[in-house]
Amino acid sequence: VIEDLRARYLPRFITTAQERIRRGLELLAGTDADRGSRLAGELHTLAGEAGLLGLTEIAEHARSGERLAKDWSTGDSPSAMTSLARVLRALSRGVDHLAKTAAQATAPASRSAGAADRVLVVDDSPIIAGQLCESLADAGIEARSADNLAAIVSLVRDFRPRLVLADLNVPGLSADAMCSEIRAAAHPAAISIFIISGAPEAELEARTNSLGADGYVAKASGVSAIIDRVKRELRA
Amino acid sequence: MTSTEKRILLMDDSDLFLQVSQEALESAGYHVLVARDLAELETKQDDAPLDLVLMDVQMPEAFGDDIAMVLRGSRGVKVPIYLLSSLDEHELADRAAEAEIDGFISKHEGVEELVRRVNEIIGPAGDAA
Repeated sequence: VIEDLRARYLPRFITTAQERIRRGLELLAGTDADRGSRLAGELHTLAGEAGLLGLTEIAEHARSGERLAKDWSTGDSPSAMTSLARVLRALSRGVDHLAKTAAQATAPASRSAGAADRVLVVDDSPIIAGQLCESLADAGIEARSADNLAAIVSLVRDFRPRLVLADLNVPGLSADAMCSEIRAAAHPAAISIFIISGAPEAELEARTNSLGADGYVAKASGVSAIIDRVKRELRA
Repeated sequence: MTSTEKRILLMDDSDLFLQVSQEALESAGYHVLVARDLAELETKQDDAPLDLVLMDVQMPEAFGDDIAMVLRGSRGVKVPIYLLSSLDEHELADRAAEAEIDGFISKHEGVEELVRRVNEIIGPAGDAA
């Protein structure tokens, strides 16, 4: 019942959140005396709505934005304003990514693009997944994302990616099960699995070998390094 | 509504929050009255008897803990009153203690936790008090 409730209210949440973020950006650029407290109010309500629907990362970003907006309303400090702009942009990316993921879940996979152009991103953070998918799209690579095993298997079958970029620390998802399910779902087609993680390189290399993955990229090396590695692999 | 149905009054200024919470609690068998502002609260409170009041804290017209204090004090509402908010838990605990009400539920725990806590506070929907 709860899962059904979440799925049904997600589109409404997305529209409401996009509207709150838009109003937040207007308040940030505006001159109203009470803009800081109004922005804190918008972010407070957004945090509650996201928290109720289990969108933890969005809720946490909104809460940190609320705290910054309160600081800004009392001191109007330039650093709080810059940080707030960054939080609102991150929220916007996260919510836009939720919207894209929701739309893709109901849309058939593109049959026009070759499998070589497609990448699946596995990450529980809509903000990180959104950033990676956006950067892959900018590089001409069709990308989708998933944060649970059922969605991963379904996308490997229907979206038919050539490569999976998988975070190792998705809550409730065993890395071993994920890798074997990905290979089984892709069979007989070949699929590359690249691990992305914030873990130290030595640990990443060991995990890549133990999982039978095809490679790894440290998250610390940045989005552009990840995209470059994907492009090299797809060209190979 | 049946005579043994447990009734919850939920006040929040977010339509989305009210609808999701109302639907989740009604799926669990509770009867939920919602109020978006003080005028609606007056009307819905008159629809007593209630078994539980859940009150958001930061609303445009007033703070929920101030409203709760009035309900508990001058209005003589005896049923459990809980704050329901995304504020930090320490602040919520302080506000609930100050208002002399029963406690708080964090919005960040999600909708399952909301239903679970309500169940813990007033019991399953079908059990008459």
